[in-house]
Amino acid sequence: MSPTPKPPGVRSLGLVHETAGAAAAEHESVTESELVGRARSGDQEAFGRLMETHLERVWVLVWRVLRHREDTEDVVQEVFLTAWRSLPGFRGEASLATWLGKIAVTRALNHLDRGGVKVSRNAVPIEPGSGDGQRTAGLAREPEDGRPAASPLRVLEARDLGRRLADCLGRLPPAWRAALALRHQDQRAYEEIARALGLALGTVRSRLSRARLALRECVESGT
Amino acid sequence: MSEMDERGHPVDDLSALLDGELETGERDRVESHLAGCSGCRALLEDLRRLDAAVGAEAIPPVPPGLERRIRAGLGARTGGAPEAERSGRATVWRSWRASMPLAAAASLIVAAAIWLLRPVPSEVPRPETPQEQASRPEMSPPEPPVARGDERKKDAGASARAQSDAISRESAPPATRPVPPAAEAAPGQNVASVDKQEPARKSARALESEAPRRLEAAADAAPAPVAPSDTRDRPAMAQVEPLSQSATDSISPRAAAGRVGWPVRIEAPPYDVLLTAEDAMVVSAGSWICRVAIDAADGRRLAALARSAPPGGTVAQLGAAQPSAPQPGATPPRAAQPPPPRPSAADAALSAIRERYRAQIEARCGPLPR
Repeated sequence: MSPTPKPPGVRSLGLVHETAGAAAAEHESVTESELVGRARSGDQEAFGRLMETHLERVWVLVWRVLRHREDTEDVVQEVFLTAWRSLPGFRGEASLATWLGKIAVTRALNHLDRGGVKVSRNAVPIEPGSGDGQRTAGLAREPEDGRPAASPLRVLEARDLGRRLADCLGRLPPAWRAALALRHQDQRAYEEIARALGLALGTVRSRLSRARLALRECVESGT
Repeated sequence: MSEMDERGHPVDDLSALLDGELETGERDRVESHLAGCSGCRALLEDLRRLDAAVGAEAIPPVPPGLERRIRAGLGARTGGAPEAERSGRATVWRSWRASMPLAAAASLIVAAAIWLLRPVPSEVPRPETPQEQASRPEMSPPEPPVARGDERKKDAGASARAQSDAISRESAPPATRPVPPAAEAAPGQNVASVDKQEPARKSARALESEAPRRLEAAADAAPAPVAPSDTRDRPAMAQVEPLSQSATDSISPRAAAGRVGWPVRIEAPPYDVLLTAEDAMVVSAGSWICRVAIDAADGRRLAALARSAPPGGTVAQLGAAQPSAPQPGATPPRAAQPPPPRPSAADAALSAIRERYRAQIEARCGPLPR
């Protein structure tokens, strides 16, 4: 059984599933599009409820790009204040989540451009390398006998993998991290990621591919 | 659009294959290559494993006071930006606004004096217009914003950033991002002035000193995201392990006092399940691992079940009503049946894996291990 797709802009507010009572039932009965309409006309309470729904997702998205808690806090604050100010211009053609995601990534990358780099400041950034070298790097251990070689990545203890991954993600170019973050949020389609980042579809595809290959190389080398 | 390396391996297509973003013809070709190339199969498996680990990464929880602070900063929407956004710190803005009349008068006097005493007509550098920025080729290096001035360049660590910029120049967007071509451009493109009143805590030196500690914390925050272990001999009960909790403690006691962190782990033999804050479920069994997006409501329901399980106990035990002591002489009510136990988190997870999301899992990662 697959989940029922919801039309964009009409999203039942699900954050209150864990609570009971009349307030929860009331929350359930209001659709997101109704709240957007109310918030658009200046209803702060309606906007607050939209924020309750989306805050965690925006937080995760921004953190994945910035990888710094205090910076994330600042930028998430900016995102919702911008959304509040700009909501009258939101026409509902994309879902609110998509719209907020676009604001979030743009703000996060602008924050880095303004010099707010902290995580990667003292770390050696991952060097994407030349195109050919990058492409063949993944197959350097291709065996002759047709059996897959033991990948260092597979024999890593899960904890070591987590540590190396956190380090390597912090060293990826932020624009690559942004593409990965959008992909990991809701498994967004490349087309949606391209719209959010203002890029061509092919650029998104190659950026994600390079980011993953670079991550693999970094995690395996442990440097 | 398909790319091969010089040895004919479709390395650049594997990422898109993983994401289900290949056209039918491309997919057939790549899959047929995979059938005969163990190296590419191994690479694909590595990418899949990494993808799952990235998705399961522990994220610090939303700080408890953040929502309240944002609400406080909303203000009435009067066509301008909300107060808190202009300065980033509402209090700074308020104190500045209080001195506004005096400052305005002083500015006028200074401006008049400069105009009257100007020595020669000069070329005043003007800020680049959005159109000019948009027309700048993406390949060209971004202009450093004014905020990234000399004192930042003096930082030893800034060289790493500069190196990063140089490396990622091919793909990194310009400093001020062009408005995306979508009909609804994201507001927040022109934010150069937002942080002009950055507080002292953001001084370069402070950042320099705290960066290694935060990197350490981020590394410590990494959970055991994919821990394929043999759990067949274990009882099917929910082992609640909010993985990011210890990491949260190391980052901030204030944050730790807030929401329970994600991801949430459920042992549901033969599977190990991680629920992430992004409404995804990472299922692993032995060396097999798979990450699928799930409905937000399902994720929260499973997480709530897992969190409500006592250590070493099942949710069913927790949910069962405790029988009260019978009154002397009272006839036990016949209808006093204990309420049906709620399903354990493990059962609910198994049901989600085997029934609700089986099709997505198998389409993405192949047959579900038994």
